[in-house]
Amino acid sequence: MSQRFSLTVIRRSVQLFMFIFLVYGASVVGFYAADKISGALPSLSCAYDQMNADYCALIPLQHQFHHRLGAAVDTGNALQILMPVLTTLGTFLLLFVVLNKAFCGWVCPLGFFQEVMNIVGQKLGLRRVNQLPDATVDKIRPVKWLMLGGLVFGLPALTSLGFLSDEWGDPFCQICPSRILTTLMTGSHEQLFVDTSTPSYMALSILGDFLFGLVIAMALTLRQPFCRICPMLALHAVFRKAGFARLVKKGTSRCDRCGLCADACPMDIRELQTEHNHTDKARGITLADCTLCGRCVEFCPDKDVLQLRYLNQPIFSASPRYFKARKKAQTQWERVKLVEMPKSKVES
Amino acid sequence: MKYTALIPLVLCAPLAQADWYWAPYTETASHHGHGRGAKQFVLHNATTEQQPDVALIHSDLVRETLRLDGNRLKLRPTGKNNYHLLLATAKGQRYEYAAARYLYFNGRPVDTSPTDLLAAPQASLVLIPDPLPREHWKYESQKSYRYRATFNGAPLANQPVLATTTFGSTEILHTDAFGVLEVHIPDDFPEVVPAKRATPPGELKLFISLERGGVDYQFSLSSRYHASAKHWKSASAGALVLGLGMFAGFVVNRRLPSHDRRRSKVK
Repeated sequence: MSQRFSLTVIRRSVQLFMFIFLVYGASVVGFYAADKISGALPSLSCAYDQMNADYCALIPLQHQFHHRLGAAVDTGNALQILMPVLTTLGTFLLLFVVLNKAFCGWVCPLGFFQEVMNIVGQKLGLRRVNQLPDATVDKIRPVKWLMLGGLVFGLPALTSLGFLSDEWGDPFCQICPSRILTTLMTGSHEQLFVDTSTPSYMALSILGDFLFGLVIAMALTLRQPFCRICPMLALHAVFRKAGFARLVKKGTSRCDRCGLCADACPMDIRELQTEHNHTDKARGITLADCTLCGRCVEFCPDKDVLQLRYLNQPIFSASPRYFKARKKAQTQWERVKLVEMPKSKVES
Repeated sequence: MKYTALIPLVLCAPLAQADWYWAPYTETASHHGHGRGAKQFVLHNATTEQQPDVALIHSDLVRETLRLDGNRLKLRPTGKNNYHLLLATAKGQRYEYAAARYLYFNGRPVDTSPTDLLAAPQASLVLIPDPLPREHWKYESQKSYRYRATFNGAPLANQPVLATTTFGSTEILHTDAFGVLEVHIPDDFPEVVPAKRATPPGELKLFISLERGGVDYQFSLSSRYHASAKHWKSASAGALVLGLGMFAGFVVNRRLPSHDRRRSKVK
């Protein structure tokens, strides 16, 4: 492997391209086309960004539950809610089948932003937390399901049925960091505000701004802080068996003692090390938190133990030679720092 | 707008002859149920002698001829998604008048884009929004919007355009060398209720007229506009909260429990 063309370099190039395309792409696909392309993109690309090329599925899903569920219950016509939701999920699934959870690791603008912030933190010599303790990870994991169930479906549904005021119709968008990020990236600060019109809007806008600040700062130290609780990750997890792209593992007894794959994983998926270790055939290990970034495959030292497959054909496999070159490149890359911060007591 | 002082000038100008325009007839709510339900409009200042031809150009470019009831018109939903164009035209030997208004309907998706609708033949003299508002965007006070003025398809440079609102703001603007007009919508609501959709919208009317070869061309474009969200949204407070979030993030970073899986295994 050339040190210049590792999978990570290719992935970051794709992420950069997709970031530019999704945030500014209206000039490519046409100003009005973003309203038409899908409105069901499996990544956080915000419709509030007036230059974007396509936008994420979470906006229509919230709107459909907010505006249609109450009407469907009133009229007894379930199709009023089912048809739009199934259309959005169907379109989502169609796009999702192509890349599976790689939409998170290769396409999502917010995911890319967090990776860039993490590089900035490393270059500034800030404290690194490469892995969280297992107990902390276990506490964080259910949050994404609460975000999906509560903010994308639950609260909009309760609003539609009249249990909550209108402000709670699209609560996830109100707090989504990508809404503020992508609009700021187009030079507009319109989405960075505190809304004083009602207590609910005020609470949601404060929460959104605070969360965005929290994500910026935490991404400097911890890998992918928001991805761990993102409802899109949970929505992907529901459909993950439908995608053509897969991560598979054919583990050996050496895996029990190694764990480099789990160390490399930015989402702290320890099951990469512990599952499918004594098996004679490759098994799927695209777990709920996986973003198909491929770092585990890059840092696996054993031949073909981990593989990225597309339509069950290996497209990238673990190999000792690649591992050595990748590890050397990573060490060199991490050695380059712009500022050397003094180590804190916590670390020492 | 710095309009009030210009009103006497406007009244004397030939622009003041341009006076057809579409306006909503009744507004029970500013929200319009997200584009569902009937919409009613009045063609102001049209006379029966001029016999306006009225058409609704659908989002898929199907042209539906409509008949005015007096000066009023009731539009049923077309079942098609996206922008439609309500157009009234009248053409005589010495005049050509047109009034346009873009309306959004919800319905099934169509294969055509608003770009195609904007390019649809309307009249010789036209003023076209550049662009029309998209998802999560609407005309708002305290913001600027662009339009393109064309005559027989060619950009109309340095052409005066009269901009007025229902709340009395008036200004004469000019297109630039490329026929582009920039309109800054004034914050002229007599009373703003500081909440989303709580203030009834105003109407922005743009009038353009031109005389060529003894023919008087007039065109108007009307649209609603809403009170600026700046009345209840504070960007500086937002920046402050973001800063607090970052500060909290740095505090959390220092306390974040770190874990080394490989080292703990060795132990």
